Amino acid sequence: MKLLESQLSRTTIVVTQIAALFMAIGLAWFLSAHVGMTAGDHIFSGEPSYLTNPVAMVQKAWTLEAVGEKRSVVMLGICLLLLGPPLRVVLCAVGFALRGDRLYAAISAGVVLILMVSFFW
Amino acid sequence: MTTPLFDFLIAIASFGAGLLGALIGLGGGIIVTPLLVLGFGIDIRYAMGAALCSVIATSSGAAAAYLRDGISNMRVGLFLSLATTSGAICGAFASTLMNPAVLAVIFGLALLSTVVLSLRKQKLGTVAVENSDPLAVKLRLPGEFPTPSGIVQYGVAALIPGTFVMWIAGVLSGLLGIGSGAFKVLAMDQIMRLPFKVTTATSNFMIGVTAAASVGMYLKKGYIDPVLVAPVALGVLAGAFLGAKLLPIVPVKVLRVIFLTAVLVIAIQMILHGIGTL
Repeated sequence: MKLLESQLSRTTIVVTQIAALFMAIGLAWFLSAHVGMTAGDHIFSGEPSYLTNPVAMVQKAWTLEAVGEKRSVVMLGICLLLLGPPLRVVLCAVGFALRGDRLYAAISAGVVLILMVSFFW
Repeated sequence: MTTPLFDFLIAIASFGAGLLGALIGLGGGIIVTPLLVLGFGIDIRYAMGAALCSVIATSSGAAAAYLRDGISNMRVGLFLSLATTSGAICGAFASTLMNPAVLAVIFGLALLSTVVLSLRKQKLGTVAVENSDPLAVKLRLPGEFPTPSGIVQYGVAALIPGTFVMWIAGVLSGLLGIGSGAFKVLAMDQIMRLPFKVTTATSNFMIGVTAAASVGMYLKKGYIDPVLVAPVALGVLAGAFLGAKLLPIVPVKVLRVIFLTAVLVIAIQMILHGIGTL
């Protein structure tokens, strides 16, 4: 358990740092292209589909023409950030399974399942 | 206001919220949302989405430290995560159906109760392993944690009521885009009677997992605007980091009273804002 926890802790730190880096770079890039424009989050209008669908988002982040793709770089960072907690639970499931703790491997897997439902339902 | 300045100010405000949250023991999320709504006029749904991402960021940062210390009880955390994540999905779904003005009112009420919860912190003491809830024993939930005076063993009381309160905490988390740490601590500390250190460490692990369950729904409904999330999450993360460093140095007790009063005013303001826009 000790080993599992220290591995979890290291993974978490690295993933969070990479995520923060992506967000900072993406934001700086976006802002540099939008100097002087009116900021608009006062009225809710949802987000375009390439920012609500993880697959479309990842594809868009690597195309370098449209305006939206700068936001996709930020979004990539956000997705990495959001991946942290589910990743921790998956690692828990694996850790418990390796130690032959079936009950808690199943409980961890249950949490992963609920998380997957929330992302892909 | 134009783009770079606006984002810069949002980052500064979020930094303040993260710092404050860490110093008085409230999450950054529950402070940053009213700031964005009341201070910057941002739609509450975008604010909730950004706050929720910042909650995940800080929880990941703090969880890393706690996991290293071996204080958190992973079995308790995972078992209760079943309740919080399913609650979060229900809450997030409900939030997509609700009028934002109603959300603002509920947010204000939740903020009020968070303040009340964090003001009355009575020590109940832990239960001995042999007095644990039989169901908790069956699930091997009682655990141990290291203290300066050696390993301390502890039991787990009232598992079912605790799990139910955890579900409610999950619903609130999904409904309002908060970590709902105060409600999680209520369930584990006051109802299940876990040691306080174990409670905070374990709840931190769970806050991230719970928030992740809500965020999928927020993402699909377009609550996550990357250009807002980035300054908020980075600001809160930096603020929380500094807050954790300052915690041993600053006079926390005095600060708590001052800031909790401020948060109380914000809560009332939020309710009025909601009623005003109904």
